[in-house]
Amino acid sequence: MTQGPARGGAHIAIRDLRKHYELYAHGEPVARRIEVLRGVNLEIRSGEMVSVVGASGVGKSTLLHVLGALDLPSSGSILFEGQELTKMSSAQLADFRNREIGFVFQFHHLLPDFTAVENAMMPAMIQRASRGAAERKARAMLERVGLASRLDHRPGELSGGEQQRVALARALLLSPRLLLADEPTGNLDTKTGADIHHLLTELNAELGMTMLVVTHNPELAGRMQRQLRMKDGEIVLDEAPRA
Amino acid sequence: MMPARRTPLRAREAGFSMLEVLVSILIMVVVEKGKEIAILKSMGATDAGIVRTFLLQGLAISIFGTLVGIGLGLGYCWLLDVYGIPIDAEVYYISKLPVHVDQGEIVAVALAALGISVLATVYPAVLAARLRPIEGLRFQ
Repeated sequence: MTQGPARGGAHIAIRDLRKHYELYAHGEPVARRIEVLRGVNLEIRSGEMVSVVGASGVGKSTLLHVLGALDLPSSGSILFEGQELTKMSSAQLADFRNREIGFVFQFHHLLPDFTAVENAMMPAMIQRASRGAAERKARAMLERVGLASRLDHRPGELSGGEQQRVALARALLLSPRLLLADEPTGNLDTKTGADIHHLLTELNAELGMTMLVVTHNPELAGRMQRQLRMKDGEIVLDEAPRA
Repeated sequence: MMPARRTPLRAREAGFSMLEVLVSILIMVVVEKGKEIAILKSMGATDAGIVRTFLLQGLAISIFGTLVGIGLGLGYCWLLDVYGIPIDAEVYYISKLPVHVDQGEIVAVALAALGISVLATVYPAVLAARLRPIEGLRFQ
């Protein structure tokens, strides 16, 4: 396993990032172009915690997905610690996602047939680490996020908050330099969501990774060092939130 | 004794049917497992790794199926040999249908079954590998 202690955060530079889809509506002879990202320019410093807010459909999640190499941009540049992501091959992007990115989704996206430990150790198994080392690291990470007593439970046997903690442990297993969280508490009750918010802040302070969090939750957005507001596929506001 | 007869046309039909069934099953698995494939890819699973997974799954299904098929076939031949299907001895000069088990044919059919199965997994495996991570995660 290549990852050991915290590696700090990544510096990211995005230039004129665009993403569109072409959709054929029923009966129309030509495709309609749907512009989702319209020339996003952004620089995120190493270790920064950034929230992305805005109405539904403005491109927040798409920005995260493109930055995390889950989707390809239509044009533009993404520099991750000086590496141009848009020029990478499929295999290079897969390796990049494994080593550098931790993703937490609104719906936990855990594998239902595996236990909490097995889900958490999945990134290491993909990296062909030894099972023993991967399991030790997964258990340690699950204990760190407060799940010491639920290690051998399957996702169906965990509460929403516990499932999200497993997802967080999985995302952080290989000490990624960038954590991308897409509405991580959107599916949770207020108290559980607050616990996850607190955990994210603690982990950022402890591990120093760069964090980009899409959220509708003003409390979570307020905890971040920097807030980006998106509208119609562009960043319209970039500021430190008021205390 | 009535000689054993090969039926190449029936063998080809059986082979194609098996191919269709296996391809259909595996394509359904790809569709059903689309989200899991996307989750694995989001964690860094490569296209080649996904192809390998599906090829191994297809191979496991085909090995199991081939062994079960051979077992059932041999068992049926044994039953036929012991109990027999009676036929008119005055017409055919023998009282029951003869059974002849050819080891070479068993091996040939087994290898053909495995080969067809592996071929059948290629298309679904490539489909699975082409899935972009976000496509599997997008719809809940």
